[in-house]
Amino acid sequence: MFLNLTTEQVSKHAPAIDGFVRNSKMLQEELWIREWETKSIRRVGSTIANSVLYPDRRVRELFEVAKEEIFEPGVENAFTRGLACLINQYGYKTIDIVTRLIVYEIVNEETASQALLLFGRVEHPPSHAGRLSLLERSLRHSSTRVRNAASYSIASLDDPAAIPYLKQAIERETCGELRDDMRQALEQLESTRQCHSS
Amino acid sequence: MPFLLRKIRKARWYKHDRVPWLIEGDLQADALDDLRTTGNKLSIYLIDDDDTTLERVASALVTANTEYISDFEYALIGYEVFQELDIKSEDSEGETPDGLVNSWHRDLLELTAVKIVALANAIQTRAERKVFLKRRVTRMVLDALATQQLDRARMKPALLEKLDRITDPGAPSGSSRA
Repeated sequence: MFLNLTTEQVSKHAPAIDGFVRNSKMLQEELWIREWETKSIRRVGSTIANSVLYPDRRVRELFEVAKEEIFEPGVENAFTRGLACLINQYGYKTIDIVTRLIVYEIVNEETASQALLLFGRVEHPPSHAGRLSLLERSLRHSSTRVRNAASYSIASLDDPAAIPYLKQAIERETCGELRDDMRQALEQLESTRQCHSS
Repeated sequence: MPFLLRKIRKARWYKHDRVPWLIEGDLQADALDDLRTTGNKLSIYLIDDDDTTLERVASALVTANTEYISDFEYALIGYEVFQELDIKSEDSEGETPDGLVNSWHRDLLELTAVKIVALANAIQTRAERKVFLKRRVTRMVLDALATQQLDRARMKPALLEKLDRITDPGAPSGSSRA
């Protein structure tokens, strides 16, 4: 459209043209910012939903599914695969949710035990401390089965940091057979500590 | 005198539990899940009670149709108990990756509900119930693989991959594996 204007006309309307161009750029920028904001809000919203709501719901759903599962030593199933996946995806968030479910005895002893056994074998170093903490707390659970699973899993993690907790658990344990199993786990951890120190 | 070995879940057999309805000398019904029959038969292994034999059976059973190494919990009961309970048995090839262990396999036959409960009571009162923890089992399995007691072709690839990563830590690994 500028090609039909003379130099004089251009000079005359230069401020208006500049203003138009500037306004266009500003409008474009404003549109871009709004689009970015919309995307960001969506992204942030999605992150919040995923980190706060989604794992909690998924963990609870998994524990519901687990009620129907048959657990065989050495064999994974939908529950153990799903929980391992959530540990990988959400790390500590998953550990926190499972901790609440087990420590407050919201889930039954069989699924609690299976979750603890998984916590002892899952390969996810970033959540090691969180998993060990739950296992130590589970040594105080009211069910002997859950305490049994906790002691096996502590042995599986093979972290001598658990020795004091295991010693306390052995002292207060009233089930003789379980006490023997805990002693076996303790002996293993003590031998590991010796290996580390020598 | 030989012994019969049956893989169990020890915690189901603890005599003491929080269940207030469990009277002295009785069993939790969940324990019977460890004596689940197929065609009224129950799978057991007839072995000598020495460490080498026990370790060999443990290595074979934890690698039979499994995807990861677990703790090995078992009940060991004297052969004479089965004779007392009048339980019939027959030789039958086991399905583990260890050929020799497979030859020690037996099926208990013509089992009735009464006989299963009697067997459960015998395991509760007269059997030795023990566990090999996972670290020890892993070492035993690796030794058994090295000496070719275990046939790799009869083990699941997922399990072999995990065991290979122990012997060769440089092997590729996922960030979180069950």
